[in-house]
Amino acid sequence: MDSFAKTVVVATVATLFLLLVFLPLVHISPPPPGLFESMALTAAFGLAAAALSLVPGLAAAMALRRGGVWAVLAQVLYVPAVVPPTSVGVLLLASFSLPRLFCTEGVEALCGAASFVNEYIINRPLGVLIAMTVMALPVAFSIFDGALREERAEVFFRSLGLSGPRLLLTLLLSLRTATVSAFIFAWIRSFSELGVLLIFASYPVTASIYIYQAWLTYGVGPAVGASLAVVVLAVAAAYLARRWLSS
Amino acid sequence: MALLVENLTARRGVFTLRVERLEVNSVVAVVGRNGSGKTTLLDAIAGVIKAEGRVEACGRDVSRLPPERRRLAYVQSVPVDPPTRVEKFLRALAKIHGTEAEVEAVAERLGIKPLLTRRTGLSTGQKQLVNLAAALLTRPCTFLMDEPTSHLDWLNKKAFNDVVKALGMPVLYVTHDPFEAMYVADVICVMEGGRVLRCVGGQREELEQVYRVAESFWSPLR
Repeated sequence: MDSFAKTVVVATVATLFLLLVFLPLVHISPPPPGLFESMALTAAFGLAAAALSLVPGLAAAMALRRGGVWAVLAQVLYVPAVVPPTSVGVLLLASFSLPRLFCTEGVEALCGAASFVNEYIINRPLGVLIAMTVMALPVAFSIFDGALREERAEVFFRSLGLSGPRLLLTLLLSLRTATVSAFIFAWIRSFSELGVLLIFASYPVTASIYIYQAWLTYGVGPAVGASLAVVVLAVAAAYLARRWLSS
Repeated sequence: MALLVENLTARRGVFTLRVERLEVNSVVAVVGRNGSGKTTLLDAIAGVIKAEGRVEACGRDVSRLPPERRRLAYVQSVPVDPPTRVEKFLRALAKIHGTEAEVEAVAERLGIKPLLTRRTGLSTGQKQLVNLAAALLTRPCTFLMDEPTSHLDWLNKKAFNDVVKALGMPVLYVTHDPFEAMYVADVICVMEGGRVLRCVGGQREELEQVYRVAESFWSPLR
């Protein structure tokens, strides 16, 4: 390795360590109760969201390879990645609030939908899952897009007579390195989400919401304690994922 | 006629493919430089890209059918990983095509019986043979092969091509390598600028003589 590259690596790592670990330690105090519950909840919702993002991500990557209108349609999956998460949160909230807006006499179905949204989606577990899945989609999409660029697996399996859900499942299993990468990175993306959750589904309390609330309610010290706990968990998870992927 | 292509036109960006007529009844190799349109030709025949003209497979007009209904098994240059354990994959595919009884025989014929229990750790050459076995089990009308040996070393290349020759089935075989074309094919077509310029066949002695000269370059490795 070139000595200049070594210097750059050392400088970058030292700066990050200083800013994200060493200097904040000055403020550290025990995090408020509920840290591990929120982390476990976030991990579980993140896993579900990552799993849900795989099939649409792969299908969109296949559509992108087809070109034309399909490619344009597929690129809509990048929207959550290129607009601020708070915008995504606002737009989701606006969409799911529509039934309430039009709930008037004579359109009882919309009133039923409005109460369903209030009871089961906004600031509810299903809302957390929807928010995390929306944010995980661009990750799965981009990883499968890269995989299909390198390997024409779809063309091969289609020529063997496979189509529909069977084709998608076969591709998910055949492109297993990409599938595992998409799953892990979509999970990491879901785990770190704040903006959408803050606006659309701040309850149940996920890790990012928990840290934000800890900072607002208890100040910097407990928020730093919680953040460093998340850093340790995230670094350990990333290290294990990398080991697993390269084995 | 296994595969008949007439007045085929397809576009990929600014590149245009135009093939007036191409017949495949045995192993037909298509050679040509990078960008001459070899892969576009296979994609158009397989139905992967939009094309105009007529593609007839085993007497059936398949021009308007999607790739999965054309019965044209398309083997790629980068072999695809089997989605499951090799045997499970082959059996699942055979079940769809009603060829379950042929799995053992195909594995035997391609020399991949020891690989049946494997899922990962297959070499590129082994994967390509598994891909070929999968394709065989679908009972295709014709094979389309896009530089199927381009990622294989010379010995694996020879082994794969020996299998292709022994299949006794119609194959449209794209390669950059004229010596490989001479070794594997009965008919060689030259492509340039999106057109099939000329097809030559039936002169096996001449072709093999040229091949033996090329092979002698590699003999120290054997």
